[in-house]
Amino acid sequence: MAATSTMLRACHVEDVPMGEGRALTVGGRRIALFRTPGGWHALDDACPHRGGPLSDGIVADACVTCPLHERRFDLATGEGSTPGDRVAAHRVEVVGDEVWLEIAVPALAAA
Amino acid sequence: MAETRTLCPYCGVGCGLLVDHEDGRVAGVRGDPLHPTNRGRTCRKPLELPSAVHAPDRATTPLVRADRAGRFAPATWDDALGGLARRLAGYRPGEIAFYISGQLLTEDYYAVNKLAKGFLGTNNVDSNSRLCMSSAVAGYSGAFGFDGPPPAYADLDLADCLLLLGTNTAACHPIAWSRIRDRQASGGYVIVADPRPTPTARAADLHLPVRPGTDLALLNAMLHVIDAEGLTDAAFVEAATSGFAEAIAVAREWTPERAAAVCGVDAEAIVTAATRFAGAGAAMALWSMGANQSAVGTLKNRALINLCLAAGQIGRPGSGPLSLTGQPNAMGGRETGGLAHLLPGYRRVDDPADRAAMEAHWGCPPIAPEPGLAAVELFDALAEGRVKAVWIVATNPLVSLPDGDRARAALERAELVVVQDAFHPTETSALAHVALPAAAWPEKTGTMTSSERRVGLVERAIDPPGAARPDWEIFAGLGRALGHHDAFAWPDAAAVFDEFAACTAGRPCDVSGLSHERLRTEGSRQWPCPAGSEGTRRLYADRRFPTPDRRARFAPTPHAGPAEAPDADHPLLLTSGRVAEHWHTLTRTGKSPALRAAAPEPFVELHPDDAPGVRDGDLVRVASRRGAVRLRARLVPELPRGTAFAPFHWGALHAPAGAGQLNAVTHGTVDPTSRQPELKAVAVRVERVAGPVRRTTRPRRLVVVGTGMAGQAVVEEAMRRRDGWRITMLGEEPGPAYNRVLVSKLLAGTCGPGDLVIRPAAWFAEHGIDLRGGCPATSIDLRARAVTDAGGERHAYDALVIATGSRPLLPPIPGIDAPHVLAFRTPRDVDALHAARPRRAVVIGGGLLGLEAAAGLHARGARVTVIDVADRLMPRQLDAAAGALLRRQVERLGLAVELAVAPVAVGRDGVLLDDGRHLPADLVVCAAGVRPETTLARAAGLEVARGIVVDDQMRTSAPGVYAVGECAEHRGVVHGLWAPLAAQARVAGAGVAGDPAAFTGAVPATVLKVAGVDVRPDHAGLRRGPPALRPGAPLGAADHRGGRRHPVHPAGRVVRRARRRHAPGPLGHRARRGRAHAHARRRRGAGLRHARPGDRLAAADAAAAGHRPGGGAPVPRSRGLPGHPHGRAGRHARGRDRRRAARPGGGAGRRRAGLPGDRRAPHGPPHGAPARRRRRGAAAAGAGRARDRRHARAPDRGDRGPRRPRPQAALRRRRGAGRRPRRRLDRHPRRDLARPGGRAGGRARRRRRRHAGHQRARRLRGRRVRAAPRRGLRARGADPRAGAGRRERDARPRRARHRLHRLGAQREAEGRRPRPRRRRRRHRRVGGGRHRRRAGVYRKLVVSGGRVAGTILLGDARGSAALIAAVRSGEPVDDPLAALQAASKVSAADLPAEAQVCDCNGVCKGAIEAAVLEDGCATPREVMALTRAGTGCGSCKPTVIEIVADAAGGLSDEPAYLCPCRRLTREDVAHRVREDGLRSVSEVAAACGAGRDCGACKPALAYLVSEINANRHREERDARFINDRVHANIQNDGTFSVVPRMYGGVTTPDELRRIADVAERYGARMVKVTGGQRIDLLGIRKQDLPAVWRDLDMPSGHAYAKAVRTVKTCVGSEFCRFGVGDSIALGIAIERAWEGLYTPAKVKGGVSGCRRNCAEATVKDIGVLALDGGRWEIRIGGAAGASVREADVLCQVDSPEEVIQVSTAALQLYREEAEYKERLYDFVPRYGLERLREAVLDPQRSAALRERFAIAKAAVADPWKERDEPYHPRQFADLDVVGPVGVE
Repeated sequence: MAATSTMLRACHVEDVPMGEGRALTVGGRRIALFRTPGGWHALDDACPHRGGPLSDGIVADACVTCPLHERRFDLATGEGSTPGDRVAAHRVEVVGDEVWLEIAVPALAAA
Repeated sequence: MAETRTLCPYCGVGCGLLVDHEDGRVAGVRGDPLHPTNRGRTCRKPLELPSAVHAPDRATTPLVRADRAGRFAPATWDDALGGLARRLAGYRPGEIAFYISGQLLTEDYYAVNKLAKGFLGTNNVDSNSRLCMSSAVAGYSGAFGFDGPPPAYADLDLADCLLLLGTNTAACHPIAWSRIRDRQASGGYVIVADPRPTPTARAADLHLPVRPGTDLALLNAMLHVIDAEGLTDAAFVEAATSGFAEAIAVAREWTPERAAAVCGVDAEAIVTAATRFAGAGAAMALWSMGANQSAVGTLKNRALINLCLAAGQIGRPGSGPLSLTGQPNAMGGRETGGLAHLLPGYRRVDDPADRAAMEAHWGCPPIAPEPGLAAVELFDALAEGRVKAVWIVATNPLVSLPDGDRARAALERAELVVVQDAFHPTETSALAHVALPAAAWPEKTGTMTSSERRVGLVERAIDPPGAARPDWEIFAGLGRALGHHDAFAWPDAAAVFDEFAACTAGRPCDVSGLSHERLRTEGSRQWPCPAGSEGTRRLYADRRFPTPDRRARFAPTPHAGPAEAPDADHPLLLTSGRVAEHWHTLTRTGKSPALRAAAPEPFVELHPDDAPGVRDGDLVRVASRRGAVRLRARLVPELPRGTAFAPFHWGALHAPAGAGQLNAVTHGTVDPTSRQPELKAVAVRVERVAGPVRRTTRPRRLVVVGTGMAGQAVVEEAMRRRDGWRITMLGEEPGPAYNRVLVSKLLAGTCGPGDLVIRPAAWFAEHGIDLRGGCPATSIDLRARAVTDAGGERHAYDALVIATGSRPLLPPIPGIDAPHVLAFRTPRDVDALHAARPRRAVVIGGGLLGLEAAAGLHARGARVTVIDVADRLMPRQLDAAAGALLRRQVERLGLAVELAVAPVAVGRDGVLLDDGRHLPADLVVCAAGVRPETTLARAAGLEVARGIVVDDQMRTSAPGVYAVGECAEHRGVVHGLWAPLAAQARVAGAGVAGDPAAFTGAVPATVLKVAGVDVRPDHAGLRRGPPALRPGAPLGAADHRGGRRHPVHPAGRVVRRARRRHAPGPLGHRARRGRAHAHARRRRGAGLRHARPGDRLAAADAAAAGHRPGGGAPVPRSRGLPGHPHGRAGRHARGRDRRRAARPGGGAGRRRAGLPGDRRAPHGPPHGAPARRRRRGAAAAGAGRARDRRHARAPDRGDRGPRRPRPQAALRRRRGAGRRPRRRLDRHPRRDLARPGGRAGGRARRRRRRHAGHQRARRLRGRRVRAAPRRGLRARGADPRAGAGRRERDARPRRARHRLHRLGAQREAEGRRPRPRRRRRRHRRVGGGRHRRRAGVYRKLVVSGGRVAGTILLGDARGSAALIAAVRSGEPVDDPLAALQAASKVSAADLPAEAQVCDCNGVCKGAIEAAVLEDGCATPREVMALTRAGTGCGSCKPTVIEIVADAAGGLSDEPAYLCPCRRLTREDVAHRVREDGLRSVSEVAAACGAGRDCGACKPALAYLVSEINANRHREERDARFINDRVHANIQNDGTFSVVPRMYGGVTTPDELRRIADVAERYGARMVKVTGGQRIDLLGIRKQDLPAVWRDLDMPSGHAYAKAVRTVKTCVGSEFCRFGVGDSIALGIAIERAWEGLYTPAKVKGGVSGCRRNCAEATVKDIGVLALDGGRWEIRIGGAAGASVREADVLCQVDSPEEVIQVSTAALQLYREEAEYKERLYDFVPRYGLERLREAVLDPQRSAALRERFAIAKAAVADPWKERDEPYHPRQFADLDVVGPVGVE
């Protein structure tokens, strides 16, 4: 875990329909935000395979499937089903009706 | 086929076998029906012996090295034995030891005992029988005064009760077991005492589950019961035994109750067992390792004998104690003195009279009076340095001895280790200084004695491979080298036996009446068998025993627990043993794919309660106080708690990487009397851990020079095998290794840079690997063991791996270094090629790489010409006919091909060819080949030929230095394909980790990765280097006069030696070759398995190596040895002449089934008088040549071989030097001269004839070196195994042969009969565009010596996996044509588990199945992720999918699961939806869970819900693909494409204007007309979609959806002068009728206005054709995508309205019945056309279908309306960006 991190207000709860993902751009970095019955998750919005927009993928209980070539990623950890595949996962917090996103600062710097 | 009667070399049962053999190869093994022991039966193991006998790792030449870290060098026997004799002379006798084996024949045993005990003066001769039956020896000797099993197997048939203790007879002695079972079936009572529910125990009438180490409690209690119940045979005990009182005194302490508490067997069962045993009329006791391998093994033997004595069960039929020996000749070993305390004839070392007798018999110096060291003590003495030299014979103690790590340390300490074995490497020989090759069964003659004292003859059926010798011969040779010529002058094994038999006269084991000759003629005999005797079935029938008082002796047998008791740390008691499929340390059974598949990996059986948290199939670590092993857990509830079992067979060579071996945990406590170790009771604990089990005490420093795939693979293998590495990787390229196999796909754009990543950069950091890309090594200091890198830093190493790969080979022509000349090797090259954006490109090199480069450039829009100096494409892989076919296919792709031309210069605007033409090009790709990169190695002083020379362990000439990959030269071959390189890397990785492994060559198989072209040659594919031979596959000639065939390996040294020794005269030559090529024969034994007639290299090599037609004169050798790196001449020959030398069909002595799809194959003898042929034969040419002249001369420029590129000036010089005049190609630019077999016009033919004459003259001058197969072929034609086809071909006139051949082609191409040649040629002349043959199919099987040797598959690669497997195993084939045909039908299910499916990653079928069955993978994708299979080049993916489907119970047969997670089929879910009235995906999820776990089925559920509810479902967008959420097609960059609907492909100027405006306004990156007659706007951003739709104001074209896409039309009768129907109107009507409806998969329609079918309606999902007379034909299920399928005719109707009715009904049926994603072209054949017809043509059913369709259609709205009413406010938009608000 990075020593410092940034909290952002990502959106309103209603902005993302249940079971879908939406993209947002933070400091030039694309982040995919997902709303599932089990809670909110955020991953980097680029599949390590060919850069597919994960925010456009189909979400099932705990994973998202990239729309381009169907690689799957765990929403909580960003771990891919193919060994070695991994996307960064970010912490999401819902405060009232607002969805807050915590992004590690080095991750932002890297972007 | 000859038959030899012999004995089985496996267990001590001693079954008779019949061996079928032919041409020096064992073809099959059967049980001998005449043998009294097995009566024709066998178990599984001997049937698999052929794979062991002919294994590639047979030891074939003596190998010597000075240093264990160094490389073995081959030696002659004289040198090897002479050197050893000198070294042994330097040791004191006691410092020398022999550790031998129960596998040896009696003669071998006798010879080594005579040598060691008689002449070397050391009694340190002990056998692995010490681990097996020395307790039985001690038991018998103690009880009867001498060691001889009293009963016979015949008693098994007579016994009323059989007590089996500690023996899994069913698994270990299956044939004895079958006799026991027979007796049981007829009333015998079987009692089995064993801790485990073994197959034996399960079959028993009474199973006594005795705890490990408590047998004595049980046996004492049984004796107690016998005594107490009065079942003792008092008269016998009184008259013939002694010591009963002492024994019974101890036994009386063991009441059944007390014993029950100790041994865990019910008291009642003990009583039953005892009364049954003693009360039986005849009872036998049988045992094996369970009794013997114990610290109280002798006492257990005595206790069993006590029972027999007390009950009087001895000396009578059906009675007595019988020890079942584990090894085939453990008995013979005892008879010949094969244990440290024995001398031949059951004499004892410590008995002066016995010594004197043997001294007299041998004529040797006094024998040392002290017994030698027994096995375990021997290794202790080695560890302590008391013994310094050890000679290990036919055994593998590093796997079989207890406390394996200690044994290993002991051997590492030894100053001299000699390993004499039939295989190399073994775990033990990997530590040897000298490895001597021994003959194996059935390559030597001798005798063996089975467990029932039966002496039988083992016969030699075939010759040993290479220089391998029978063991006795090796010892005799050593004896002579030590100066004892007379004592070791035996002429043959029979003489050895006679000498031995003579010394047994009068001894208990008297065999003096036997001889080899008698055994051969009369069969086996049981000793004692003095002269005149017929042998002795049963001992002690007179109840007199050979003790001093002639009485048998009872012994008190007090119980003691196991030497190592369980405690809290090690709570389980592990007992070790065997499985039925394997034998000892797998050196033989491990070679059999079938046996390996049956028992693939080591395991441990555990009681579930003893392993909490462990699931069946988990990997667990079993640890004792000494070491650990990683095993797969099997939970066995029937096992007694606290007991575990594991087999010991697997050592480092056969166990999975990093698993360790079982004997690492066992301990070396031995029985004080028998010195046998206690392998059956070890205290262990079980831990749930993975990872390698061996840890280094200090980190080992591994430096890898080269960061490519090979180096990476070495690192990963080393890490799999042990921990504690410090790894540095130095490389020239900047990043980590990438998948180079995919570079061609990268160029073509079918994969991205990300696909090439093998390990992300983070992986290296995580694993502590110091990866230094862009920092190449600059020098190696071999002495200091350090590498210096470009930064000047020194890296010390313990092990160094050189994996520097290769560099591109650039022809030395002007301009080759220009900036627009690029190589094609790395992603950087690809970037450069992409950046260059060439319009015209020339690719130099028509090989694999060149074609892939060309295809990639072509895919990027360049006009590409491929040039090659050879006469065909892929010249190293394909023969002429296949090459010509490939050329046509490649040309069809749009590439230009110029063959038999060389570039002479590269200019700024193109390439100048040697025929004077200029090919314009703004980019030149040089893919002419590669050279091993050996600069660094050469500078360091390593031995370098073409590549860095390595041995089978991938060791270079320097200790601790390995080389792998394209820079390494192994057995004369530099490998270039990834599969063998990966195998090399695994071997080197094992080597640096200290594990044995061997690379013995590979079958090169390759696949051309160019879309649309399917080529799989699997026998050549070497980028460089000559191919080697497979066993028994002579290339050059067959000695058809009855002798053996002498294949010759083209490798250098030996062949050169042969050349020096060469003397004229065919016989002399052959004889010498036989000897001088000992080394080469070793390679034959282990050789690569490919060769083919079309292989020019092979033929050239064979020719150069001296093969020629039988009876012909010797081959001129002026050209030396092509391909051999050392060969001076070879270097020259490697160029032009070698290429010439081997023409298609030039490979000698092959039977082939060449099946060209479109022309006859180069076959059959030419028109030529025999005399002329012989003359040519004398010039080293032959059949192939004449054949060439007719067929293959065309390929090159008027049959001159292809040339090396050379400057024009040089060419002129050559011409001027009086060579034959050279035809200018440019005079005939149109002629396809490269077409083999093709006949050009008359002028060309005449010219060729003229050239042929020149060539003949040149041959006569001996300038050309070519294989000469003519005679060989003919010989084979007479060969009874040769296919009928060949004989017929040879016998019939030429025309008939061609007919036959075409017939074969036709059969293979499945009815696609080639056009007559003449017509085809006309087509060609017309020029390129009229290749109307439907199949450019070429399938060829190369058969050599009756076995599959290679294959070329072009255009139709079906069955390639099976064929490659057949090549690998050298499968025998009788009818090549039938075999090829069968292969096309073969499915993955037919492959053996050992068949390698993924060559890139070395994954076998078994591993894929295991992933499904054991790791629970459900889909091919998961399997590929786990096993890596199919993740390399991807060519094996279809096979992988097939295997997965098979293993998962037939995905294809069973209904496909719509939701695999819940195993719900479409029908399951549909039923639920209908029954429960479900209206949304989430309701379905709630009802049955589908769609929850992985989400893969959500879109399918969404479709199903919508279809069943006729679009009145509740839409949930999260279940839809993104395409269906935003109604546009997502593209690879995340933007979308928009396709408005244009009904029937008709549009208006206004629509076009709007489209144009939209394209500009929203920045469409491309506007493209689609294949479906619409316009595609590509590159639209998601948020712009609503505006785009609004501005277009057109309906959605559904181009993104699984829906009706488009109905393509021609202009039809409205405009077209041929049109007979109004296709446009009908197409529009259909499209409107179907528009907007979702379907299981996309549906494309088409309507053609006439039979000319311009709308391609016959390949549409649903197509309509207008017929004359206003009729219409409806077709269904066509495809023109990944597969092409002509649509089936559904029906013909009379009006457009009927067309719509019928086709709509069909569409609705498809909507209702098809699986999701199942295209119509799959649905129709699955559903059945007839059935479909019935449904849609039946008026009622059709109406119902149409009604449901109408209901669904009524609910459809244009999705693009969502521009105004989005489903969700943020349906198309990103979330708002909010800046950071705070930092915590």
